[in-house]
Amino acid sequence: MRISPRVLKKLQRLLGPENVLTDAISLALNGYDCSQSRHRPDAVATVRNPALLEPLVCLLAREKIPFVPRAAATNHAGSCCAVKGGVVLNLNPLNQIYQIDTARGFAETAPCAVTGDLQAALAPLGFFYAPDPASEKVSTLSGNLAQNASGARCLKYGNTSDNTLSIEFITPAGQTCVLRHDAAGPDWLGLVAGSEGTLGIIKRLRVKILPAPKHVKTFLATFPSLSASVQTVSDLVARGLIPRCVEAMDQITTRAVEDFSHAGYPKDAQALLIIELDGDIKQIRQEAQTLEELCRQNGCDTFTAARTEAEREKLWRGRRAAYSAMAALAPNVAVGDGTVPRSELPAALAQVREVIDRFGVTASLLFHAGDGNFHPQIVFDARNPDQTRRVSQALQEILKTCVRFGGTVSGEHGIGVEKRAVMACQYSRETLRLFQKIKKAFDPDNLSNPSKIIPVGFEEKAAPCAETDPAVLALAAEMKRRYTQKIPSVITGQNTQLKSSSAHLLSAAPLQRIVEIDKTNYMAVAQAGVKVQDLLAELKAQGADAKLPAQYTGTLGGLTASKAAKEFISQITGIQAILPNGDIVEYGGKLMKNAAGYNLCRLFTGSAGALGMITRLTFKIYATPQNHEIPPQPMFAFGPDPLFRAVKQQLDPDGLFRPPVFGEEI
Amino acid sequence: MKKKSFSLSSALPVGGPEGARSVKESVDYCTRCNACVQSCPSYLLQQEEAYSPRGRNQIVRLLAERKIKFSDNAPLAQDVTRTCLLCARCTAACAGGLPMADHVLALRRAAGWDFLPAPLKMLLRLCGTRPKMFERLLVLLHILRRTGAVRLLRVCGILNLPSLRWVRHADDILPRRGKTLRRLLKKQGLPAAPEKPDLLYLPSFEAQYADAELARAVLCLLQDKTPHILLGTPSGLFEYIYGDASLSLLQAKNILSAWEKLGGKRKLPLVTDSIEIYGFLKHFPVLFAAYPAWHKRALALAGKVQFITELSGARRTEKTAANGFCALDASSVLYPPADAAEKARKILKTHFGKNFVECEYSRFVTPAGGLAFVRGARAEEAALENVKDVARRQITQVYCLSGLAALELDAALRRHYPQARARHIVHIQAKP
Repeated sequence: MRISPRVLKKLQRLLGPENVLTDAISLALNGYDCSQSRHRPDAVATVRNPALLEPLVCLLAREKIPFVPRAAATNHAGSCCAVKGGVVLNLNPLNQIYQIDTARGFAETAPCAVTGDLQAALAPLGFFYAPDPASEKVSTLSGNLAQNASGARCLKYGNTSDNTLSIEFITPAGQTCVLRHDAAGPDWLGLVAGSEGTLGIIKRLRVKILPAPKHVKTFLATFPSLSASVQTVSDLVARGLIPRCVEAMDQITTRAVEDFSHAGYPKDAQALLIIELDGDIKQIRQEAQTLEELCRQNGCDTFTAARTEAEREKLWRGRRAAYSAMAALAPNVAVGDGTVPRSELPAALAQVREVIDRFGVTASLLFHAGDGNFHPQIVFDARNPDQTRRVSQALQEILKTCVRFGGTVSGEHGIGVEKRAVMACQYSRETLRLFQKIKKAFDPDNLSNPSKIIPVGFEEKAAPCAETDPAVLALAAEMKRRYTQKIPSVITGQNTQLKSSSAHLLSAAPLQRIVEIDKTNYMAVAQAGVKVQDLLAELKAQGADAKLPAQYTGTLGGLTASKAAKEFISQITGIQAILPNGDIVEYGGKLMKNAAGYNLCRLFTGSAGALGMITRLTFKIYATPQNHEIPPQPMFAFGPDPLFRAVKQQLDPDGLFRPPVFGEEI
Repeated sequence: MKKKSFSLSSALPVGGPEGARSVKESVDYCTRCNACVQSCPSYLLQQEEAYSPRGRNQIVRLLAERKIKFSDNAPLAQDVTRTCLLCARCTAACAGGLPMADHVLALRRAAGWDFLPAPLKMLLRLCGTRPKMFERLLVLLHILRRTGAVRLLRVCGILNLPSLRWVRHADDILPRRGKTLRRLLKKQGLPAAPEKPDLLYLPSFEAQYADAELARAVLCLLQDKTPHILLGTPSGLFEYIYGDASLSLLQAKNILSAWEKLGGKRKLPLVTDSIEIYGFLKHFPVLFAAYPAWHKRALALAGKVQFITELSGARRTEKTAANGFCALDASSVLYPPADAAEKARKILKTHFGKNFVECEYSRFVTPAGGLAFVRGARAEEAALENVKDVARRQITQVYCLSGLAALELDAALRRHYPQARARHIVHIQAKP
């Protein structure tokens, strides 16, 4: 589409003529990122004043011109290519760090403050910002949040979403709102994280900062097999010992990296782990003992600790040079990103190697062993069409392999345009339909970064939901009946939080199954009607524990839907829910990282049954006893804000599922 | 004069860790990972993709693939081409170590002189073909500018000549032929060319400033030896950076012949006080890629080039504590030689002991040679940032490897932070 001269003039008047570019060079240079996608926009608007962002979005919304927010454009998924043309908003000049408050533990920044700049500003104060994507020196905070990036430290400190306290957010209609995790109602910030700019634009961020650990110690362990190394990591987590990071390489990668960087890695090892511990010196000493013991137990070949800073630097040199080693081999490097449950990692990696061999491509294989997240880096020459085709086929095949192992097509890189197609393999038709509804609720005119994440023509490509549990199916049928017959209902668990006296209660009580307590991945799967206290007793019987409040008398689903225990919310990694129209949707699983699609876990937490019924949850468990003294909080009444109203309108246009937290009782 | 058609195919091969490649091949190796972007001073000023190293690579790629035309996108393409400082910080940050400065140079050469302001372009053409006329014109322009005659004529409404603001840029980039320096040196009674020299001394690229102080300090340092001063022998660096590679090749041949005539057989070292010339001469055999015989000779010279810091160490002074903190500004244009910086660091460490701190500019390289073109509106901002970095670390003395950087930084320090001074590293080596 072309932008009319009248609109261009308006844009120029708003931003200044030098900040609205339409020449061929600027258009070509703002149409790419680190992936292979290229799409020229129709104009590039550089925003140099944050106050102009809102009027700019209003103007574009009024004129119905698509726009794509663009920060450092370092993503590997084609997330900021203007597929539908329109205006690319270059936000890079908004890179100020406004405030650092060490007493209250936050930093406030403009959207495009560079992550590395923030780290550099925090270092002299003895603080740090936890997420550390590999591109942190150049990537921006809002870009990280939009892709929900994480890095090596994710296992211990969480991803970008977990480390963001609140954001100022501009909806595609041009309204500014403040989003935070702990506000009453659904966790909009959690939903917007990882949305790749499809739901709106981040205007300002407040991120969590932490005191820097006094000591860091790095270890190198080599193993005779991949499974032994992965088992070591699982054992570590089970012991409650969460390392700062666990990076791993297979033998082929180790050899390539060692030839390039001479970091002193043993070339004959089948698998190699770089493990880093942080904390005070006494704690590290204890943990290091446990670590060595566990490594030896799993039959490690060598176990070395870096004694000096120089040795530590040497150990990391190889890992850091992995990209350089590949980049020097050929003109292009395609970096893949897939995540599987940790226990599946050895089998999945074997299959990935098989795929790489089958397509005849050269690739290194790095993985964050703690998260089950791996990055094949495939080198190729984009000038050779046959090679390029094989590489893209191999990448698709690798992602499909991930899905087969119960994984996700993106752990931290996002979906963009490049992985849209494989989303249809991962998610059911109903779930993708829900993603589409969320996008429509936020952005009815499809203006903000259009044509991303949701696959084209998924109605034919994606499979319908394959749930077989009779209790869930019965509840879905019941909800569908009420939806079609327009019977107003109140969804509850044990009715402990809502305390509704409605005659039309719909209880999740029939969902009483504890599906699985998985002690290799340290994840539990339970249906929503299970009482929290029963669940805790079962976990204890199996020698595990979870961060659940012991005094809470209600169900697991009620605990989640009412946001009664905030500590537990961050432990949820997967969710299954029934929408008001009876569709069963599913998101996540036994995965430590998931950046594919909109985060439905965060949408349903705190939704109080207004958006649907939670039927099943997957959450983290631990081998060591956890703190249960979490006082359950009463349910906050939340006024339906514009975002909530828009999403509700999409899911339940007649307002049939109406919890009493809105005020009046049905 | 007939306009040369724009072509990147005949460009010189560019150097990289994997050896020489064609420019087109080299830009194809850019994976667009953007690791370079935060290291680029011109991007940090502009915050636009076109001004980033990744953007410049892509422009070269698009031009080479004939997807866009230089002339159709003239204002932006010209600006992007000339605002690259050639500081090579991007190469240091790049995973593949791509020589992005070389890509920009290829672009400049392919564009002919088209990337420069029109009057400067005409003047520079004269520089190669009619040097005498060039020098006279330059003097005339200087007089016109200094006296404000152009402005006066315009204000009085007599004659509306174009502005001569670009002559200020010309101060930095137009080489003078060493006459002034020779005169100044003569005045101070320094020796003429000896019969049998021990080494050859090439006064710097920055000799255009007629910084006799610098040359004198170097000669003091060389007083045990008999140097032959190569006055008025351009190295070809200037043409290499701003102009035609063939002109640069001519100059390089000159300097190669001079070295061979005076000391080639004895393999005399060629010493220079300019870090830029040092980097260039180490790298200049690439100019002779198409002439194998010359290439071999050029390699011989490249092996004998020395930076001034290699000549002697520093004297430890007694008053180190009183001298305050000292730092090294290792910024250099084009091919920053790490060995020279390392040696200089060692010298300063011996001299200042614990008072030596690393000089880290958080955002910009010093306003040295390459910065000539971003002067104007943005220069003050860049200079002030660097002064802030100096002031923040309570540095009182900055030693530069480049004479031009020393002059520039010193001028900025005088204005904003007079407690600190910037000087060339030679001044610490030479006896007062």
